[in-house]
Amino acid sequence: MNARIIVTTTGQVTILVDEAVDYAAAARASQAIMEALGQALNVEIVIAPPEQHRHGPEYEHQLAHATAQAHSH
Amino acid sequence: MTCTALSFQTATLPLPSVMSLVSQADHDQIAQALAEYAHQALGATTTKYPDRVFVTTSAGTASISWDAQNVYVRSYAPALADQIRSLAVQFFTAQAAALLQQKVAAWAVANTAFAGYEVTGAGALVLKVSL
Repeated sequence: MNARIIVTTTGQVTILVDEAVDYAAAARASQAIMEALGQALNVEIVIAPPEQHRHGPEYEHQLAHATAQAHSH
Repeated sequence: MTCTALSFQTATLPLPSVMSLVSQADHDQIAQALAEYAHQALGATTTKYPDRVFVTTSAGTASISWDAQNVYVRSYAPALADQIRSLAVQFFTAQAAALLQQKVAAWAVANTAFAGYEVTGAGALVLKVSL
């Protein structure tokens, strides 16, 4: 499946899976990517459910912009 | 003999853990970039060392130093403390994010079916991959 890894200037990493048919598989794949990234970069990656994400307006603005661009392609 | 006591305010700022990946070469670049940033933002005169930059304005002098975990702001003029602390937060947040973008991009190229990237108008790096 195609995906986009978004890294904002506020330092947050988001994985946006395009046109996921199997949401459970998409969730597993994106979590595996996050964990691999954390190990490779030796940084702690905290994976929280979407409803617990609190990144602030700048992050939300950048994510919305990136999401809109992804959907327009 | 005359002794002069210097007063100062200190703030310790936690850095994103990605800063622990900063190499010595990166530190040299950080010192240079921070000195330029302070000069442009405040019109300050700066003196840089590998892990420390002194910033002097008409209000006084402050120093900004850093290690793998923290940024340390020491202002010898109380009026300058908040200004320098704000400048340090802005600078190091941007540095950490830029470094994170570089590291994640290098990882994506090496570990996924990488299909390109783009930078949005808001500055976010978007890496196109196949999982």
